[in-house]
Amino acid sequence: MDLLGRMTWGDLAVLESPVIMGAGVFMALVVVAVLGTITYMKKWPYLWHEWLTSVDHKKIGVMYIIVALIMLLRGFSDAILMRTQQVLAHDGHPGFLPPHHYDQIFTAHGTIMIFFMAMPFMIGLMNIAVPLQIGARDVAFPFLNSFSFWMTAAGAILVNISLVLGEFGQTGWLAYPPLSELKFSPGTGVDYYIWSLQLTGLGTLLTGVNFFVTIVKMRAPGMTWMRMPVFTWTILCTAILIMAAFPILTVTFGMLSLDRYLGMHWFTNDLGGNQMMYVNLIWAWGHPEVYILILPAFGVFSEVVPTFSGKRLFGYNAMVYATVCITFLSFIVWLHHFFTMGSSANVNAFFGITTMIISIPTGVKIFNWLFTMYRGRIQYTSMMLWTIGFMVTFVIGGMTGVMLALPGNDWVLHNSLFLIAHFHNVIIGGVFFGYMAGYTYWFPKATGFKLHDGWGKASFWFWLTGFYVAFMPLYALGFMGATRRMNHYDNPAWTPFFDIAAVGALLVLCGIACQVIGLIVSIRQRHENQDVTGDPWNGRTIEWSTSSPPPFYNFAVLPHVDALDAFNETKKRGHEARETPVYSDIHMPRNTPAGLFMAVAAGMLGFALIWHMWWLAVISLVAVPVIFIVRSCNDDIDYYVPAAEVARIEALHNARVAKLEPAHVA
Amino acid sequence: MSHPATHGHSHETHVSSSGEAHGTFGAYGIGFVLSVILTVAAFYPVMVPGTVPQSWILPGLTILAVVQIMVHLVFFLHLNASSEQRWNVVAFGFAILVVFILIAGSLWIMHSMSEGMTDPDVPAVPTTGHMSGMSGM
Repeated sequence: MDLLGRMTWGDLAVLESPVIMGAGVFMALVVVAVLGTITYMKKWPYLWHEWLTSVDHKKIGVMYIIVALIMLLRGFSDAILMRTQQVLAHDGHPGFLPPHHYDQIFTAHGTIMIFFMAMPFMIGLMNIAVPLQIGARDVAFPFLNSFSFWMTAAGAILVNISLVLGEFGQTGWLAYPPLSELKFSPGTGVDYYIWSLQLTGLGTLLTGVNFFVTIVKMRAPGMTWMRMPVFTWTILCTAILIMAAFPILTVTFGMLSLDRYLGMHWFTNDLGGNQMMYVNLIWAWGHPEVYILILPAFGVFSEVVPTFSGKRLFGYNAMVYATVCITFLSFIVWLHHFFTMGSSANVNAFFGITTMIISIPTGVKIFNWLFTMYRGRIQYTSMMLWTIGFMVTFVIGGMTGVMLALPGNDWVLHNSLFLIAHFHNVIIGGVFFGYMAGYTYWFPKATGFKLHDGWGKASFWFWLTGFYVAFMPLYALGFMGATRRMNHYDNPAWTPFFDIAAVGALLVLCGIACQVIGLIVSIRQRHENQDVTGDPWNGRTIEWSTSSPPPFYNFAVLPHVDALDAFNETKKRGHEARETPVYSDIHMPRNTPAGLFMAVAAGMLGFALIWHMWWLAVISLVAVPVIFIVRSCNDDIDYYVPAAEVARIEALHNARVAKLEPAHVA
Repeated sequence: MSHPATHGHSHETHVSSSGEAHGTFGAYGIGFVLSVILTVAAFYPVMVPGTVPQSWILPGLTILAVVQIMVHLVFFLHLNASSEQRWNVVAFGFAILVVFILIAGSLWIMHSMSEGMTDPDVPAVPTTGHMSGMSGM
């Protein structure tokens, strides 16, 4: 059995319990159904040529968001399991999840929601919107972009394989040693954790490089720094944070791997190791990561609020400077995640104060959005609802955050459910609401039809109420002394609060159901909700000046930007675009499967390392650079779209718009 | 139409935009010789004890490592003060700042922690033959 490394029949986790069996069978059925449907409809060539090998940023963005939505379902089912367990398991009842499973579930929930839901969602949105917002034809490195996506997908697949084969970490979502060391976690769980995150982390790092270069180098003529849309600004800052922070994550996991694989002692208890250094390093990545997630959400709100208030953004300059301030400050607050670890009062005071300072630029932003809405002609679309829900919820989460920033308070509340309520308050109320607003806002741009707004609103109200019902009791429980990650407890006074929290989770479930139904309904009604003009919301920035979905070259003629909110200015002046444009040949990158192949090999490397299949590890480790070298030797990586072809595509679009025009006037 | 998306090294239309400076053979040669000298200078005193006083070795190695980094940046990565390189210099400066925050912050935090949490009568590391104090960064 050497070929299979340390894998045995006993590692088939599906055989362990009915819950896992059910989940495994369900997952297998979904996979078989999807593959079967594709085969039956003979869609493999289409899928291969148009999607899997695509280097088009818009398609890569859509694929990122599909991964995010699927992983949202996976992560949320973990949440439901945890809530159910805590309703059942008290006063002597063990509940239905033994600690061995329960610990894997909360670890998977955190890992999946941050790395495989929030991150792909954010990267998907920036893939779809940023090149269009800056008037570029693609990102700076399209092949790298494809590789980045497939690395994230490979990581997500590894996490899901752990559900049926082996186990996932039982360490919490950051895998603190010494628990995550070989001595205390000898199984495959921590290795699944390490290698899935190493793969997706590398993909994210390359995405950061890609978008930084794209924004710095590829803005349309005339788009100076202070004419960039705020979403692009926030993505620029996010890219900087990614480039600075993700290497720390890679190195930290690398050191943990050296401990686990080569018997080193970076973080062990003995032989000079220091587990506190792991905590220090992981949060030096982890705090910038928080802002990597929230800054793009701030960017989305800064696009949504002006568009649906019919006004320019209040305090554009303040918004930009606040974003840049947050970017810098996010590097000097990381110790507030471990005030209780035993640093001196001076150290704790320094990081407590920087943490309180970082709330100031965030507060500036809240006021900017409020003043943008003030005396605006507000349309209460679902995107606006997500935004208003965000502002209320995020302010509460921010205030509990400032409470936790006081080291004295933190000593009482550390690791309690108060902390859990706080970070769900900012991540659901801030990050997730923002991404949902962005998803709805750019959906017509990516697909050519709008999402059903009624289902969007229903989803919002369920999510909002569900969030409050699920997490407000957790604040109270935190004060009452309930800690996080409890498998069971025996304080009868806590039970009603856990029951209410479970009801909240069910409300959120309804919200997710509304999202899914809304998506299906919108796809079925796509002809009624079609976005013919490319400008469904009366938008202000130049991504709305091209058709929906944009042609693969984005802009037939690169736009010239001479103001902030350039498209709005153009519309005010009347459509000078009506003059016959002069098309020229467009230089485009060719699709390539190399990114996909490299990520498959990297995923196999991860799998081989998890199971100690050294022969496979060596083969796949060699395969990744070999595929890259083969691809580098290929000179046929780009082509020119002839001007006549551009003219043909644009004429089709113009004809569709012209057909609509009389109805528009009437 | 020049489009950076296509890494157009093989195209005659390729316009060298900023940040893509390519060095000369001579510059690479000087860089190579300098880095070999610096590497030997780092290894020799460690491998041949007594070359320099023991107390010089740690600060000496630190200085040689920093100089080595500078040599690589200037001769291999072509970082200089010209205006085409401004973005690279800014990016490099930011990277230095972040690395400084991380290293200085970690040293401060870990030092404070080990001061607060160690019993002065018990050695920080129970086994012999290992450097005491924090784990090697």
